[in-house]
Amino acid sequence: MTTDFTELEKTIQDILAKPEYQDHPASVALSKLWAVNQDQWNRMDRLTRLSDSYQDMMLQREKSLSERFDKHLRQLEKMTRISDRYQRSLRQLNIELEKTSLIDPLTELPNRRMMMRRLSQAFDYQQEEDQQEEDQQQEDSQDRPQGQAENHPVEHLAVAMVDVDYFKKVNDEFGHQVGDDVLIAIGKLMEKEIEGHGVIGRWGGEEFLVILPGYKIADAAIVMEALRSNVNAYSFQVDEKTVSTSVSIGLAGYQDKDSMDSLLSKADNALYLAKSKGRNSVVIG
Amino acid sequence: MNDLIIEGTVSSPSVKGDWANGILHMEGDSYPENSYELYADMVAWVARYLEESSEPLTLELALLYLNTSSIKVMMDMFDEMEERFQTGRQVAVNWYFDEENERVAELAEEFKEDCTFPFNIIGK
Repeated sequence: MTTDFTELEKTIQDILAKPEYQDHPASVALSKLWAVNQDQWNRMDRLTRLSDSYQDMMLQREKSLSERFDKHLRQLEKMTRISDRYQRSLRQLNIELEKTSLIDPLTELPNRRMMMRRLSQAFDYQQEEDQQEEDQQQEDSQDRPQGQAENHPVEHLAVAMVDVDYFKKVNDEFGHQVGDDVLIAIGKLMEKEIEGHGVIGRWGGEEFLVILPGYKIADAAIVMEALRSNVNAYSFQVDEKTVSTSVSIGLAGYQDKDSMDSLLSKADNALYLAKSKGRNSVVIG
Repeated sequence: MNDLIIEGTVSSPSVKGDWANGILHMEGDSYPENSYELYADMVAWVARYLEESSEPLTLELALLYLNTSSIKVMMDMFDEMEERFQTGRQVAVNWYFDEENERVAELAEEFKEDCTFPFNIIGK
């Protein structure tokens, strides 16, 4: 059975309003009960309102947290994207810088630093070969009767120092611009000659270095002689004048216990000899 | 004294806040180890300017490299400017770059994407 509260309230208020019931103990008790009931209703009302506003606050908080989360996520994504861009451009710059630090800007051939690196690589390889050869010899000599030990010098690396003859005269006669053009043209010509055999770079001024890994001195001499002859046959047209030039070459082959310095110095000495013997020749050091 | 000066170093930009004209200048690279500390005064200066003054605020930037924490500082500052712009405040950014260095312009574009206030990327 459901109670109609509105009707009940009205009945009670009517009873309490009647003056003839006012002093009746039941009316007094009912009046107190009514006051307690009103108080309970008010309290319930306050609790409901409190609960509602608390709920509302939590909803707001959740909303602002989610907004903050979204903002941070957006910032994070953007930051990583910008960072990635920076890293990418730094990487590209590094590659460009490394390239320019290893290439001669005039002839676009490897520069001295790059050639030293190449020579060092060829040397490391050569010395590994030497070590293996030595180990092999030791094993062989153990198997061989005494007194028959053989020495096999390993000679599979050659370097050549190339110098343009009378380059100063070209500069004096035609000017530095033509001098530069001649260096560029000779550089291209020699690069084509060396291609497939080894590597050529600008050593400084009008001097070039050729590294021929895996080449015995005799084979290296054939390559360098062809190079000398082709440069000699080549001429450059400048305005209405013809510039002819030649190169002197000092060639040296790696020998057991050679260091990079000693090998280069042998090539240098051979170049000096080629120069003093009248230029336009290949001398083996 | 309402002006702000942070001296530049190799790894941090020079910063100059001109209160009377409502201009903040920043110029250089920014990869300090302590970005948040270094920029605390600058961020506070901008926040205070936006709070206390009702004049326009312009950021004049010639920044090149920014590390991640510097990027975060800049984004927070742009976000704050964007919020103010939404409530009718006049704010702007002028980001200058060397035309030989297009990468800087591309980076500035990334920042610009989230801003609806005037954000000019100017080659010179």
